[in-house]
Amino acid sequence: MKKIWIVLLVIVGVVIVFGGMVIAGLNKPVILDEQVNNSWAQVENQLQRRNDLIPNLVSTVRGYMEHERDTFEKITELRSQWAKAGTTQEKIQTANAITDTLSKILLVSENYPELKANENFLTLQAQLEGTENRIAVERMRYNDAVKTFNAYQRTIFGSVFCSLRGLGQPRVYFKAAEGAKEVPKVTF
Amino acid sequence: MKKIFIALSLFIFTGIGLCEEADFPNYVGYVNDYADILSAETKYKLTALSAEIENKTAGQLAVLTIDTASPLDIETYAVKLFEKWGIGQKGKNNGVLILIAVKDRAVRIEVGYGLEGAIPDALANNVIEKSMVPFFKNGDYDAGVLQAAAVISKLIAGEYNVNISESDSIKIEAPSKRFSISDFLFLILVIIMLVSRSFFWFLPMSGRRKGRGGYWYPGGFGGGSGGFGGGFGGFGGGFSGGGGASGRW
Repeated sequence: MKKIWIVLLVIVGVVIVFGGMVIAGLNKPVILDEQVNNSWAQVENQLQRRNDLIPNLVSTVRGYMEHERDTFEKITELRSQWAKAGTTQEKIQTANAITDTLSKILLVSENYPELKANENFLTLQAQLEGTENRIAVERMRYNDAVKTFNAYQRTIFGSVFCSLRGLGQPRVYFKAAEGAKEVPKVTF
Repeated sequence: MKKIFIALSLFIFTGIGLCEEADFPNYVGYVNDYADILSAETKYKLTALSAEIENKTAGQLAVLTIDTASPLDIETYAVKLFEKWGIGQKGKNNGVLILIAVKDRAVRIEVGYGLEGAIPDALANNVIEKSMVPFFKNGDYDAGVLQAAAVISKLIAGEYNVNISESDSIKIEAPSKRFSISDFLFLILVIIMLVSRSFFWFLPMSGRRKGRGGYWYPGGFGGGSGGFGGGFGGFGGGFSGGGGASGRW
């Protein structure tokens, strides 16, 4: 009689332990996925903040830099393209294109001494630099979250739990633009 | 058995050691002068200032001087160290870090999420360019850091509608007597920021500004850290998101 109780207790214990593991395993993909979503929201937040600065920059700079009309048109176009971008991948591509164009404008502005003396422009420049840095920080945190999620997805049990919760697809990394490290070429 | 345990723990600990990207120092107080550039008097004044800020606003102002931030750039170093130390309170993220890398000749003011409204990037940039860089060029780190801390403390105080008396005791002559138009504009900007809080509406801000607007702290209740005597009780677990500005001299 005693033996049966012990066996039953062991079975119940095993069920509790494994049940707990399964529940935790089923919850983990959702938690990690939400972390990715949350950090992506922060990235978008900062990208939006940068986009809001663009009209200001263009109107400040336009009067000084007549020759850069094409660049202004391009950045305005990219800005509206951003609003239309649906998938994360599209948004990342547009954001990288905006980064390139903005850095070009700021680089060219070095050649306009009157612009460098414009207090309004200097403030804008500081704001843009700050925003770029914020984007870099949020991008780093987003990529960390993606890494955690994708790594879990590829573990033995993780892959099972992820597909059970309908989260079988790996998330997209936010890679900086290919040319981001290079100094953009400026032709006059 | 003991040997296996020792070997195992050694293995684990060296593993942890290898995971660290850069060598982040631990904090000893509000002021951490690892590059050894600040005088004892400056450190005392800065500590008193930070303690008063924490007592009255619960915000935390930290100062760190290092030789170099390499292999990271100063921006990445600042945000990672900010996160590691947890400057500012958890959830409110109301911390500010002044970081100086002497050999890199670089300085950064890193602003926590919660204070981005009080210290926008353009203003942080102005503090660096007007209050720090001119002094640093002459090697006068004491004056630069003190003046920057005084301006920042006033900005934090303005955010929380309190008065920081300690910052009034810091009076520093400008290195050049010339009072330029941009200095004047900066002064006006600071005054506008302090007087009219609605001015913030004109500035683009991130959506993560939980600590902004209308917070009023009856002095001294620092959320479990700090205390009445101004004793340093550790940082609270705040975050920053790359807000602030950097400069070079």
